[in-house]
Amino acid sequence: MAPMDSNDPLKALDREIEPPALLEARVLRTLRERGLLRRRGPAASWRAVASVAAAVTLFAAGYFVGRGPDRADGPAAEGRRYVLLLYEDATFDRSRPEAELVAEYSAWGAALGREGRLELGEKLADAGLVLRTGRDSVVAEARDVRADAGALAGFFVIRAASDAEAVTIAKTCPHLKYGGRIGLRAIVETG
Amino acid sequence: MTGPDDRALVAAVRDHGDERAFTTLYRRHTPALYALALRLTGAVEVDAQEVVHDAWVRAVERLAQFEWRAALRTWLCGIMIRRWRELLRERGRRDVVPLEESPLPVEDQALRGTFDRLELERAVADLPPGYREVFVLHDIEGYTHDEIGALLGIQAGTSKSQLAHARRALRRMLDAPEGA
Repeated sequence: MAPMDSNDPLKALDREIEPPALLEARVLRTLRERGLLRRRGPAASWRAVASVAAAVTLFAAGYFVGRGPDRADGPAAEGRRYVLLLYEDATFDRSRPEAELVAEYSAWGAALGREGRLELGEKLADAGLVLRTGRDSVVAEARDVRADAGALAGFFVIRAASDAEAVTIAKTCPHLKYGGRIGLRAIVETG
Repeated sequence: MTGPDDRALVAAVRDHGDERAFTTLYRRHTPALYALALRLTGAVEVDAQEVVHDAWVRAVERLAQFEWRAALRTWLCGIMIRRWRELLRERGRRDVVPLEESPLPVEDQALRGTFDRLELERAVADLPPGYREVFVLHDIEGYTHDEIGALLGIQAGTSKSQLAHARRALRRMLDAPEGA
């Protein structure tokens, strides 16, 4: 390997970028299908957790907080849909292991799911892309959103009877006690 | 590095198809592979995911032939870079700058100066693929021209020439003076 110049501006570039969680699942699936890997360990327990929660599917690496239940899993609540946008910044308390946070958020979502109030809940990967118009085409630029102030870290889509009830639900989200902010927006049903 | 070393994990995957061992390897090395893949592909995420996926699958298929002449990550990067070249050929890309010998610009020097990180990433992504590959491998990843030649199937001199052209193109995009 060639030595790097100490004044090299390229040294500031990230040498590691977190890949999307779904890529890991895809690689594992391909290797299993080809008989190169035998499934064992955590994957089974994640499914067990999801089963107990009756509402949440956890994915490897904790990138996803969870997915809402099928409507058949719980009585669908009446009312309007709202999205809870979970923001984090430098003040967010990261002292707890991420796996514990994922479990706590998932349990919160699962409880909403049992009431038919959760449609979807996902944790977003730290690495993402920003699309912009380049010289001749649209280019997708890699970005580590952890560097952003007030980065969007995840979201829940819930169902509530009113704005007030949506606020009441949002106040119970564990994200707030760790110093995160929640943006609450009603979804406009367009079709 | 914490946890079992690569040799033990590779042996577990190769000999027993141990998924847990593979997952440890995957999580240890994929962030570096993915960063390289994004740069090679000009930050086209779907292509980057494709080559990382294919690199891991091919690597596991060929683990029995891996003899530790290089570090595991170096081997993986090589597999991924070759897959990227294949992908370009499969698509019959016309915008690939041919990797052929061309006159070396005079006074070629490494890119220096103060640049915004995102602007730099954007400029690298905007380089034509042929220039971009050599620039990424040499100036960002630290490969030698001989190593790049072996990976891309070109002469070391061609790699040097492409690098010089890439640096000039970058300077133009970043409005940096020649030799700065």
